[in-house]
Amino acid sequence: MSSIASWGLVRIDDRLIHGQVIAVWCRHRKFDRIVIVDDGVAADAFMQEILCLSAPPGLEVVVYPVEKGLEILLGQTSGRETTMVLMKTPLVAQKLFEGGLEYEHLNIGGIGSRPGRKNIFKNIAVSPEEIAILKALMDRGVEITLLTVPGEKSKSFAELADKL
Amino acid sequence: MKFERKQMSRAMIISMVFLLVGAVLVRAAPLGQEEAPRVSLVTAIAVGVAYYISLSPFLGNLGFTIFYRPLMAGTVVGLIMGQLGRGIAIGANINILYLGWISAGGSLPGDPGLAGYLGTALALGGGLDTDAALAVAAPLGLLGGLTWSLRMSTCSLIPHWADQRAAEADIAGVARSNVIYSQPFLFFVYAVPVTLAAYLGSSAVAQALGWIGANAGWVMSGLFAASGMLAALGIGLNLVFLFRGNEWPYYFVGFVVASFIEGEVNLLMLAIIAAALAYVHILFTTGFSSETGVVAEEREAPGLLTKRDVFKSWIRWLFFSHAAYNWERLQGLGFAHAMTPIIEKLYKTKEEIRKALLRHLVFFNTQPDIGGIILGATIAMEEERAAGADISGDAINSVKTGLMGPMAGIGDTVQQGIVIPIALAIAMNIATGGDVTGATRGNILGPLFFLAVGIAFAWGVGWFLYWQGYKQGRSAVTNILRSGTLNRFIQGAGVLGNFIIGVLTVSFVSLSTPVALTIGGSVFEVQGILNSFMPNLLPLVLVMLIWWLLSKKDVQPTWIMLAIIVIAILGAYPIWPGVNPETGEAIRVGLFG
Repeated sequence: MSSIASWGLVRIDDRLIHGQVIAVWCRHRKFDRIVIVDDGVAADAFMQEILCLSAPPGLEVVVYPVEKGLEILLGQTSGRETTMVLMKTPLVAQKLFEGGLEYEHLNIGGIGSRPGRKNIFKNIAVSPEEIAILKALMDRGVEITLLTVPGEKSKSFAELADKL
Repeated sequence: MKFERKQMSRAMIISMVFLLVGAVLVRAAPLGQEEAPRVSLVTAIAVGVAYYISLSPFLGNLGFTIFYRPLMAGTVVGLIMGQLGRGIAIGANINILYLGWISAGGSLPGDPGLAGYLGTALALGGGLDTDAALAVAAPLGLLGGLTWSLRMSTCSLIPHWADQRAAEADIAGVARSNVIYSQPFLFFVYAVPVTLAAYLGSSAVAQALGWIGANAGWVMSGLFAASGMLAALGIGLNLVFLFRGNEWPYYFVGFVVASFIEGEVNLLMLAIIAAALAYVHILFTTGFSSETGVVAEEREAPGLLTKRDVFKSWIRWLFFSHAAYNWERLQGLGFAHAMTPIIEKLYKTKEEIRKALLRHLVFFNTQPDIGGIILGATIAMEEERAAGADISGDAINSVKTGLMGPMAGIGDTVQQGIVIPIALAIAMNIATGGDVTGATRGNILGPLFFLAVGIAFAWGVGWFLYWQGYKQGRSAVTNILRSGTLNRFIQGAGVLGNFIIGVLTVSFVSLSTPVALTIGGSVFEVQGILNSFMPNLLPLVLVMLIWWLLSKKDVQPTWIMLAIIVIAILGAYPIWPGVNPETGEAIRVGLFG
């Protein structure tokens, strides 16, 4: 694995593609491909078309269900540094990791609050189960950062983990 | 009910504490004995209130995008203080730093409004020269981040009160939560500190300037140099957004064209050249053939709603989408508020109203003008549901949450990344007659031009998309995206943007050096040598350096800003070899001219 470059960004963001991703991340870094891994969106032809069409010129957006996405990502050996892997929940991040996609960094950009989730940083809220998942990923060496966009204040999950 | 009152009183107590602390500060402030305040209390209050209004919902979505920008701030403060021309010139100067300012998804990188309102008041009140205003105002913009997180956290309480109102099917109560509860708090948080700072700060600025003038004149030239160099940071921030794809070469085209022009640059004229280039660029890359001959699908509306109902909803969205903006649900409450006239019309039983209100109180966030299409589509779905179609509440919400992201991505790119910066650049050019860093009196036509563009976009485009969303339902979004027009627009704007930023590098950034070496009797002027290679070489190198730091090294803009100010002021200390231009004697000069 060491000969293959790291992923450009592995990000949890339950809004998937939005202003921060398109107008900030993709302008700050060179991304030419966004792989969205989500069972719900992959099953929704309308949303899939919207997501693919909303990409600006020079950026390709593809949507896969989790299993297929894992297969595609594991098979992608070139251009990883310009690919963003995007998912909605920590659960998907865990499935990808356990499926063999051993990313070193995980960015959490936004998880909306809803009953059962507690706000931990800005617009990021997590449930107890999700905290357990993130801690497990952290223990396996993944560096988890809470950051909306480059240049904003960021927080390391390791710092928060003790208090959760 | 009880819960609500408790929360409400908490917010009021916080506000009152602000007010009391403010009052005590004003009383106890050690003003110089004979030094009367340069800004009267009434004027200071007006400036504070103007800053609050620029962020309030009361301007029909022209606040954050238009009146929050330093050019407009300078105009308003200039008007308040009876120095309109100077106010515009100072506002334009401060705005250079915030030309490429993008706030996406509730993130706020610095506060152009604070830099604009307070900065202009301090500069006018303290007698600061226009071309040094940016160096004083820029650090002020950093303080705004503090207020922002206070506001975003505190307002997170409000949706919970709205939830309670919704649970009782109280439509007016939900609307009230959005409009009324947040504003007294925001008024104190925004208006009070700025009023105090304008009232007390201007004499401090005047005193500091007096001291500098008497004891360390070189600091003043450092401030001038810092302002000229900070412009490079504004340009660099813009380039992070624009300098990419296959559009970046146009930056250099713009730079060279502007370098050829002696004297004042007419940006509007150059923009015509750029638009022609953009046309040719698209012709040779993407082409203009429409991919598919998409025919807009007209939805069969059940006829429960009239255009007037949709308009009523749009007006609420236009004004109050961000009224109680907060970390927890962002525009969630604004969305529910916009839906209130629709819910009132469509649903009659208490249970239906309750469900509909709660359905729309969830997390929502998008770009308000472009994203209005989602609200239109939601209204269409609610209407069909009320007419008996099999559409579940979950289905409505999944369309909402699915579309809000893509629309925000497109909206932020188009509005914050393209329309505002280009309109602002042209407006600043008109306002200062092409001499942004040197003009001392601004032209009101510049701010008016910017205002007109803002109105056309927020009201014109905003209503058009809202109505299309309602008329065509959710397929309105696919229809607009499929045509490919939008991507061509973004691409063309990339060409235009790069060209204009290239031009602005010449007309905004000022950096030169008076250093001259005398070797064996002959004088070598460094600037002359640089000019013989290429005029404006130093500004170009500085902009490229800053762009590289921002985009390749992830250096935070704040650090670059502070570094520029420190380097410019220290560099101004006269220890470098130079030559007196009149006598030809060797003298000591500062590093920057």
